[in-house]
Amino acid sequence: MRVTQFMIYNQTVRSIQRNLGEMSVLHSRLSSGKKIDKPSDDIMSAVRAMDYRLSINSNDQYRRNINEAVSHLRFTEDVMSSVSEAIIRLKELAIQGSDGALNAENRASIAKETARLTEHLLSLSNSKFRDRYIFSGFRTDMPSFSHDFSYNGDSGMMNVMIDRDAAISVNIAGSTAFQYNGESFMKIADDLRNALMNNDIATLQTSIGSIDGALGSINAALADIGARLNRLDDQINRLESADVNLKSVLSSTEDADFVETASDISKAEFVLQALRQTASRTLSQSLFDFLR
Amino acid sequence: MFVSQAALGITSHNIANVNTPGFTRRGVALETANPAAIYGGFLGSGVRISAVKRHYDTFIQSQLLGQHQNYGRSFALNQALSHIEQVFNEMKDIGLSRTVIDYFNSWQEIAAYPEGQPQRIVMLQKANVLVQSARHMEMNITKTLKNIEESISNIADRINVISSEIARLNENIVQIEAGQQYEKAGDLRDQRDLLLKELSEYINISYFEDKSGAITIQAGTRNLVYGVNVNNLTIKTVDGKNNIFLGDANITPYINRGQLGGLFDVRNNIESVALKSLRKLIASLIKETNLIHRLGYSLDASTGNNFFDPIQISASDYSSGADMTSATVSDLSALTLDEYDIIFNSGNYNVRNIRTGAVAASGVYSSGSPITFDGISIVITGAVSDNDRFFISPLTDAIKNFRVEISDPLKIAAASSNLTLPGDNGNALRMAELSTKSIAGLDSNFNVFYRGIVSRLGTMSRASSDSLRFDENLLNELNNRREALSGVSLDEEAANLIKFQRSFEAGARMIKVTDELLQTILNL
Repeated sequence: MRVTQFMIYNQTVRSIQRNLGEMSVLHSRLSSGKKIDKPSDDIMSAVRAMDYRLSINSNDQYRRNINEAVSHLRFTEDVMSSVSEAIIRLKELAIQGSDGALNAENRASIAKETARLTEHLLSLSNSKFRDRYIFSGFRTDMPSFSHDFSYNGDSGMMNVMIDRDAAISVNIAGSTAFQYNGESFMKIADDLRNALMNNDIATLQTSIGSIDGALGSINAALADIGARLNRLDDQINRLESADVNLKSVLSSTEDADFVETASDISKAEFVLQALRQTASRTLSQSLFDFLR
Repeated sequence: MFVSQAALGITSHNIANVNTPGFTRRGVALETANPAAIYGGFLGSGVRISAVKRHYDTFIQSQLLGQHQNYGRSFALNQALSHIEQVFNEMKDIGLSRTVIDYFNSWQEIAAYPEGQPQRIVMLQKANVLVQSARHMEMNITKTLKNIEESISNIADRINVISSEIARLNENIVQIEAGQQYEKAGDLRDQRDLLLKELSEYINISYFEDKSGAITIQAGTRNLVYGVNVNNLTIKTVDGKNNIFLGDANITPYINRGQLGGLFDVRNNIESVALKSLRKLIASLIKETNLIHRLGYSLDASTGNNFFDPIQISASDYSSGADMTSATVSDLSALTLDEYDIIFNSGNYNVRNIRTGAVAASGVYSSGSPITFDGISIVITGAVSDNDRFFISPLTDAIKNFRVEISDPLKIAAASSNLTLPGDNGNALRMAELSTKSIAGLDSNFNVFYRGIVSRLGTMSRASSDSLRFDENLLNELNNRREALSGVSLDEEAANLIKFQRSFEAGARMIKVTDELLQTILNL
């Protein structure tokens, strides 16, 4: 085959171009830290990376939801513990009041404390978290209980998503948390106060039964909250470990290996240098140089 | 000596043109001159030039032209597709997937705190960001499509210039070569070959050379150049797109190679894959969001409101006398997001779903009475004739009309009942769940559908860059082969120079000897 100057020239230019192209790809890989610059570089990896990023992003949202739910439930748990303490104190007072050795005057002074507890319970039932009445169901803009101890809320359960197809409720309706047998705890406390004031031992005995029932439903509510918090704790751990996994596979899918890239660059530099050297020699000579 | 001088002339012509693109090297073919009969024998009477030959191979040339056509196609495909790919470059966080997920996440934020004003404001912002990025993407795609249309008409202009240039060369070549034995007009032929090469890069052509040396070039089914005659390409708009006409014939369907072939191809691909899919994604997002939003209750207890501006139906009229008076969505939930053709025949209408090919509705046409199918209601008035056609699409303007209708954060319908305000988040949850739900018409959820678009475009772009590289290598290979035969080698020319210089010197020497002989005789 005849070989002409033009062919050699062409070949050299093309080789240099190709190497420079490779070099620029490697440099951009080094500067961006990414193996894939655009989807067509590696379609499968690009699509997978999109999927991983999406999962990471939704997990972030689920974790935000869970954190929100946890703080809501912890606050509810705290309130319910205070309620529990108040009811226990109420029971002590009731037992104390039913002592046959007490007279009407003694009972009236106990009644004063029960009145305070009633107020306390009412204010607890109207607790607000981040400006929402937490025991009103969906009617979060309304105090859960009025001064006549009637319930203003509904039975709405506020759900948040904690995973692709899992949701959890973050609230307890006042109708469950503050009522026993259709009577609110405040009403029970008030009944006790009235019985003490009226020196009515028989009603006092019935009150003790209601107070025990109230304690039972408080414990049930606390257990429910505890169970939900446990579940959220499990879920957030699960999501966090999934997050770590996803981030590491994402990184191995799309991140460039710096050492490898750097060594590829020096390899390409070496080839380019060799090309330039040989080109400068072959391209500059022809038979004409030797004709004198 | 004259022969040597002529050969030196050819050599110097070769050397002078060592860098001229398309130049074909020349060589002199020598033969012994007719011998003279002397003293009963033949005495050689020297040398003469039988021909100045072009080192040229028509086979390589035609292969080269074919490859130029392939290369031109790949080049155009690759350019446009890599452009489009950048619009969907999720690797650099350009594209929709981030904004779509942000949009749905902000519904979850509302679900976590439905009465919160800040959450609602953020949600509206995220929805507006989504609108902006979708519009931005559509704008970039349509810009690319516009560039393609411009390229098509620019190339057509350039082809017309080349055609008339070739016709002029045809004329000159025929004049010069008339009555000659060999191809005398070598330089003109080189020029013409070069133009043919450029032409091949633009459009697929076939050509042949007649006895006089003129070439006829055909594109599509018609002659582009015939001897000294040129038929100019003209651009006409068909369905809003540039089509190429040769005379009165639309040759667009025949153009499948060269840059024009590539541009036509990529124009279709971009429209059907990038643009239409993106519009479908947005249209279904509008549809599903609005369907849910209308069911919900806002903080001010209103209901039945759209979240995004409603989908509008666009119609194109390909009829002779009828008019489209209205095209509306009559039942959003029944809308398929497919496109339809309404075709008339002997007084009947036939609505055909273009994607499935199924008949969506048919009946007797009566002017002004609504035609209803798949949630769309169309009113056509006027007289229709056979084969009149209307093209109906809920997609064409989907992104153009993509807007968040709600501006008051209170109006976001997060609750599922007006009795459970403000803490009810049921509707917001339903909205958030949309993001992972399989959507009818997309056959997957939004993210998976979008990922499908990205991967299809990526695959197309990859295929085009692969074939560009392949065609480039092949072209280079063929150029080398042509160069091996027709290219000028300076070393070879230097050797020829010496060769012919020597024979010139020897000839001169001969004259000197003859002169000396003559002197000897004169001195007798």
